[in-house]
Amino acid sequence: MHPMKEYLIVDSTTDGQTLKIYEKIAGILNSKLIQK
Amino acid sequence: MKDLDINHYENILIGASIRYGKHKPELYSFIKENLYFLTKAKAAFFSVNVVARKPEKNKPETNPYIQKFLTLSNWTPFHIGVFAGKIDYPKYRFIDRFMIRLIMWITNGPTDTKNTYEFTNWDAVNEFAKKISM
Repeated sequence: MHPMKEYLIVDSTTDGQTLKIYEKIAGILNSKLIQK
Repeated sequence: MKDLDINHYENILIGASIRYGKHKPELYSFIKENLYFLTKAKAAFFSVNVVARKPEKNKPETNPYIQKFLTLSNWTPFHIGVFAGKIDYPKYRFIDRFMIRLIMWITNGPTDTKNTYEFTNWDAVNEFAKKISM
């Protein structure tokens, strides 16, 4: 598996469980999650 | 996300949850404004909804909110995921707790408002992440 990219940028209004899913995906993609 | 120029990004993943049967209108505005780049970048999409806790509704082809999304957005994402979310009764405001409990009662879901219920299938999230990373 290759890293998708360095950062995964997520909307700051994203709700709890959706954010948790983003975090999980970012972990697998080896990306740092940033809320903007 | 306002003022975000997605043309500068290599890969795009959009995640959105369902509240009271709908994705936020901002989701559709964003997609409409960026449809060209989303298509060009082979962007992926996932929806989080409690209906997906049911085995017969936990796939993009069988989940009603994904089907509705595809129709309303006029966009076919390159990869689509659908994951069950969470019901966190203690955290909800009174009216939300009441309404969500009612919806759960109608759809044979959990109704004990003292508890939190996480339905997310993390193996499915893993699979989706692997798929979009290829």
